[in-house]
Amino acid sequence: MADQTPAVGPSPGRIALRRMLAHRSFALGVSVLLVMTLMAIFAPLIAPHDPYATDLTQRLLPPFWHDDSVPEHILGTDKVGRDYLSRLIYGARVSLAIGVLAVLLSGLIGTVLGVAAGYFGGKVDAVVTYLIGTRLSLPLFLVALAVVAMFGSSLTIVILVLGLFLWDQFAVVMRSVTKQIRSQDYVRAARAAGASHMRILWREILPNVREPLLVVATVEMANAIILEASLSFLGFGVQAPLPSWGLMLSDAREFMFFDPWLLTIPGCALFALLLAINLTGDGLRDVTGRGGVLR
Amino acid sequence: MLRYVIRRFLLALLTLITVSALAFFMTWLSGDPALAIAGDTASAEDIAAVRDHYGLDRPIVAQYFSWAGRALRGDFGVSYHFDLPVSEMLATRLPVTMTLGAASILFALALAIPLGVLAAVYNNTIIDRAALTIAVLGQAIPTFWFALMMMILFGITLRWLPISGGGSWAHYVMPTIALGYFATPVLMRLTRAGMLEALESDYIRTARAYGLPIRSILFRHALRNALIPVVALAAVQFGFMLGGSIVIETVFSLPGIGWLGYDAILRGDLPVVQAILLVVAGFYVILTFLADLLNAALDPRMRSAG
Repeated sequence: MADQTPAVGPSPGRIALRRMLAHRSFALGVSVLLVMTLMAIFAPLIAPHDPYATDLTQRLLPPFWHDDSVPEHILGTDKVGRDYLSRLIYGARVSLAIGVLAVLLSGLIGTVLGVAAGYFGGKVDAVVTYLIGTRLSLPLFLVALAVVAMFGSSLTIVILVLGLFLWDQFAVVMRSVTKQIRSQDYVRAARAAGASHMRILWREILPNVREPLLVVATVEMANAIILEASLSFLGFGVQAPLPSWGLMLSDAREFMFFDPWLLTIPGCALFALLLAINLTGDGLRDVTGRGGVLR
Repeated sequence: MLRYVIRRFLLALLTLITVSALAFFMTWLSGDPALAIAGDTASAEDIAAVRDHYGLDRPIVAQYFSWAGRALRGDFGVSYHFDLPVSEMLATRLPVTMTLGAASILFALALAIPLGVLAAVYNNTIIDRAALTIAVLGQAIPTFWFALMMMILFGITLRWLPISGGGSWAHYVMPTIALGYFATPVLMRLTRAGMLEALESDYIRTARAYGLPIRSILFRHALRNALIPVVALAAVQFGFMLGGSIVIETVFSLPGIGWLGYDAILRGDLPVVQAILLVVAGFYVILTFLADLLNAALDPRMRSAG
């Protein structure tokens, strides 16, 4: 009976935070992601050299684990003598900018379509289902290559192409989540109380799709970053001399026989970033216990 | 069920028509095809002759219908660059990509199903976590980088496998692993989830209560039910692979439609790009249609929902 006093426990947000920090792989993912983000933001302060400064007398210097490395260039230099570490640090900017901006655009498109389909059902649902099916049947990479070939390669074009193409999973997941929420009592109550569709969508539906939305966003962010790297690797991504990890890998390819470290270093950076994003997403899914994303 | 099949079929048909229209008009947006065929150095008369020869002066909608009609009969026109029928080029390239796709999906399933079953049976143990780690790593490794790393190790350092071309089965080993490993995580997760669900279901409990051997319960009952959605997803993944093998084929110089598509885009060879887009999308639409039917046949709720 002594327990009857209203327990002032931790708030739901604090409980969630505690669960997140207890989730080791999530904590690891978020930490790496945070470090990389800071690295990208403060690149001019951290990078030891100008990432664009070439020096033809200092070409293809090896990284620190080789005997003939030089201390000024810890990770060596590329084929025109640019500092590899500085390009790596600046490269995080390109990957993260593409990941974030493409996902903002695709997330907006996918959420609008998915929520509309799930909430209104009927004809709206049929049209959205058709749009999702059509988008999925287009071979993404081939179309992206063709579009970049048409409009020229630049950071903006790559962000636009990926943003306009990666909305399908957002729409699929938002549609099914909204369908579930729509039949909840609080939504019915709001409707019975005479709330308009816009008000219900804004006040009742959107706050409740946040968690699965975030989970899909991490998956698609990783996707966008892989795609940019692949496009740049094939010469259809961002333009040289912009420091992008995909471009660095592309340049490194001709030296893979004698200087494989040129491939290993940017590849590991890309791998670490993608792993961090995926661990964050998986952790979010575990902690919130929702968002059955299937790919 | 029949209503569902018909509706789903109509949707697939509508999707294909849309994709064909997109393929046709998209490549038209990229500039004057007569100029692309005639080349940069062509005179005005040459361009006019080309335009006349290929029927490029007719209304665009009429051109679409005659193009789509011919495509239905397997005639995709003539390559601007090679001056060969596109259908012939596809016929030599498609088997390579199909082989690669089939080998990759089999590799992925061979890895994903045992891992998924183990992870479910030994749920929340070190085995489960190891399987999950493999999945997480697989999702994070960029396919083309993984391919290059394999090339350095198996092709250059150890000299076990050829690093380019498509002459023998050995040429397919690394591309298969690179492409297949990327598809493994989702298939593994789905197998694991399906097995977990099956193992907790009433019929498995009943089978256990009757004292059926655990091996028979796992493989004859639980796995069989868990696998149907996995097979359906594998079919969809196979469709993705046909379109997604561009980078891998280019890296390994494997002469499939992916590499052909990349080359065609570099050269502005529109008929080839259109044909590949259409063929890949066609396969994908058919595969997802079959996968949906498979899932619907399994799920009584979907059957009645129509």
